[in-house]
Amino acid sequence: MNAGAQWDPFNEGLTIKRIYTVATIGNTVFVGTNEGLYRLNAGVWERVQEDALGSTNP
Amino acid sequence: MKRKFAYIALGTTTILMCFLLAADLCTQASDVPYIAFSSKRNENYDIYMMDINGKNLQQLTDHFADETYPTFSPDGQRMAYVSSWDGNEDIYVMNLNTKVSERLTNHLARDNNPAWSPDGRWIAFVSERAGTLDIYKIQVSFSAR
Repeated sequence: MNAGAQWDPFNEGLTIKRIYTVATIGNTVFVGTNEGLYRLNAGVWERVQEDALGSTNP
Repeated sequence: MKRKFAYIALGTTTILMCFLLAADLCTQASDVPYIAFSSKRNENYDIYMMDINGKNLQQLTDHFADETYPTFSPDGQRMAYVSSWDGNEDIYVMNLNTKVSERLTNHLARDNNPAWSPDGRWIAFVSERAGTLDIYKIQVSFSAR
């Protein structure tokens, strides 16, 4: 912690997208972008592939 | 079709699959955390919810106005959000079991950015009703809680 003096980029792989919001569940970071939902998995941003609307899965 | 996502809310509590009033008696049928988001897939923004693995996508709102800023109550049973169905943004709360919404604010100024108190009894929000953007709080009624 250095009172905000240093900031590091955290969006490698997302640089061409518009990031609207960031949220976490446990240790997983999610971002909402203009191209969908992404999560950080082992240091790599990956798209969360969603089901079709109305389908159900166990 | 190009999709736009915004205003994500995350629910870390489990989804309760029964509809008893005494929610603490319900059996937890799933431990999968879920996520809500606002997306413009048609002519306007609506709110959707799905498991964080992308399964079980549901559309929670379906209105010609924009619905945005979803945020789950601490117990995971309600979702506060913003709708502009009457022309300006106000705060609403949806019961996630019944999908019935109740209006919390009704003001000509824009009310948005709702946030639940830890005990689920209050919602803080941003409003410009006094001419500048300020933070207000409103108590959530029993039926909406």
